[in-house]
Amino acid sequence: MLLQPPVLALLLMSALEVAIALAVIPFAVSIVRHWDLGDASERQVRLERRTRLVSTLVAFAMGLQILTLPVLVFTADRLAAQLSGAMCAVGTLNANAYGFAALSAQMVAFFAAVAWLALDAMDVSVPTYPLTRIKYVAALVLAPLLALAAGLPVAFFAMLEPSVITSCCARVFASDAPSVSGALAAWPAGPAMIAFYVSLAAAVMFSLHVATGRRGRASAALAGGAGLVAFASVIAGVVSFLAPAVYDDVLHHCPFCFLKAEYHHQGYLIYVPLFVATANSTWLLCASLAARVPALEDVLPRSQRRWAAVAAAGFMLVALISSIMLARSHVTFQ
Amino acid sequence: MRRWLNRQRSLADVALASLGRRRTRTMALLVVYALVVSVVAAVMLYAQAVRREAGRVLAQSPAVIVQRLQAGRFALVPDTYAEALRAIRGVQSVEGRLWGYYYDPVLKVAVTVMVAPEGSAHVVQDGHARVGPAVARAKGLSAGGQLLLITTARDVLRLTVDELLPDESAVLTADLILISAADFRALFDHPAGFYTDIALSVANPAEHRRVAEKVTTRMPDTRAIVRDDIARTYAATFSWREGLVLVAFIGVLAAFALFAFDRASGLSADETREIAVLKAVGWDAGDVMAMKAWEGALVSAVAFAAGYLAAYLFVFYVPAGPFDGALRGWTVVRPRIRLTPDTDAFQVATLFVLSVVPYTAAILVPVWRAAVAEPDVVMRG
Repeated sequence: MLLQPPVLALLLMSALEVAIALAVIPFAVSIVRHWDLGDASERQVRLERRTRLVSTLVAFAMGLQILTLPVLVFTADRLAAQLSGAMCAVGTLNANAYGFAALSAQMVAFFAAVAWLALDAMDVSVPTYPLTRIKYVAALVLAPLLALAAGLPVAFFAMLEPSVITSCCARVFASDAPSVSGALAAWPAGPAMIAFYVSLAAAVMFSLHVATGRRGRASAALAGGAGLVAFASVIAGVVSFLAPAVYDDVLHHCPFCFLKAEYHHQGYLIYVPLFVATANSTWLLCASLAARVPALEDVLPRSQRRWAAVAAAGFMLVALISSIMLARSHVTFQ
Repeated sequence: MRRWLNRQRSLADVALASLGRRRTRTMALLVVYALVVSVVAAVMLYAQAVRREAGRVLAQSPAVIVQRLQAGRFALVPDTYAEALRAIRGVQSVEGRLWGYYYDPVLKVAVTVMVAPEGSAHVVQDGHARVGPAVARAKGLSAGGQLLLITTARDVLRLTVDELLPDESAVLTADLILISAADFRALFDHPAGFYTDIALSVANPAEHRRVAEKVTTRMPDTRAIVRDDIARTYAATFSWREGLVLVAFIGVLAAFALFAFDRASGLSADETREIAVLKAVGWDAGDVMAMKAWEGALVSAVAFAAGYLAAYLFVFYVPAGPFDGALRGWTVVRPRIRLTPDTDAFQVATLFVLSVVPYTAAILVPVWRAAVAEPDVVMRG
């Protein structure tokens, strides 16, 4: 099913990402090998001039990668109308072996792209470009990941057959399904709620700690790590209890259906702040790693405070909106 | 934050002033850009509207249609099947249908001849007919006129045309002729006690497929067509055709990207001097790139809005645009349908990716080249 406009848009973005990732490799290798700001040779001057272009190109590719994830989910949701048995994106992604693999790869590539953009932002904030070499090593490491994340959706849509009867989300996220999704759906609401709120509280607390003062590497690392844990526990909580609460149906655990119009797009109220907050947590984690670089000592604390404040606000919003959803629900959890 | 916003506002100011100084070049780019956006947008808007129209029509069609097959070919259904179908749990009502295709030797086109369901407002008496707007137009018929049909036995069936079927239902009735059951059987030499197919209505949408399975299990010589499957097929067909038309425009997009690249690469003498002056007064390459990015963003925003608006007006207010044939197909008795605008954020986002992303990618390298140029080299020419 490649000849669908959203799929064509996805292919265009993926093709650009891969083309840029591959084109950057020779330059990244020469940066890693020869970059030396103290050197006044012609080669170093050429590298310094080109690094801005290459950084911009890689940042553009990473930006496209960040956009690709929601486009993949929306496209899968749209194509559900053309597949027998599919009710939402889950049914489409479940139609062949590449669907959920593509989604997983996109999620990993999304946060990897976010991390790379953080490195780039920190690097260009100082005139001596202290993270340039690390940034290009990261670009080299990310190139295969980007290629994989771009290739899997292509394989998925190319193999997607409209005649295939797929399973809807009710089957995939059934508590008796022998899979990770089934295990999450079967997770009792009580422990899931505790993990959900405790992890969110920890992420908010640690982030606020960084946001309110000039803190060190450990605080930033703790806040970043807590943010990633909160992300995982919120996703698990959505499947376990939040989605059933929104649907008013204890058997309906789908984490995608509540993005649809019939549920007033309520999912966005959770996912947008969650992804923004987690992206900022990722930046905090990167900042904690970059804090060893002496040149960043002056600029990093200010950026860290900003990122931590956004992360704290995002996680607070997730907790608040989830609580409102639970309060409005008619479902009673055991 | 305020500092950042002030910087962006200043950069946008400079970018806008710079675009204003090169009015002719900017206008040329805007026109070509908007044209490209409008072509892609028109295809997408048209396909979405046709999909919606098909969905609206199919929502009124029977939940399950039962057809009989004999030696792999379509066969008439005995009326005894209707009784057996009525006994299936979940089936609300059963209606034997009489319909067929009549090849009109004058128009050289097949039209649909149908007997209106009993109890409907469209039931016609023997010797009378109601015709759809496209048939009426093609044959020059009006209420009270005579419709002549040639029967299978080569006799002439004379029918008086009652009032025409309304234009509002054209998407369903454009090529339709409604006649009585007796006239239908006479026209096609259709045996009594047989239907063309049987339509089932099933109250619970979740049971449509289950009912269809029961039908084919109990009557192995039948096939049951579920409405959802027809809807899915239509959605897939229109989306596929839409994609096919868009693929045909890939060359246009590539040509436009090349044009944008070429235009951004070939800086005019004024532009290079402007950049050199900016760098001489203290701007660094990053500032120049940001200013150029603002130029690109402003051009993209205006071209995207203008292109989308033009496509919207073209699709919904200009009848029978060029995509009509490609997406809806060809026929002499084509229904005149007024498409209802149907757009959403995802469609706009898809269009944005298909049109703005190639432009942005195309100007990145030229923008960098402009930004890293040394002021003294540029000023010396």
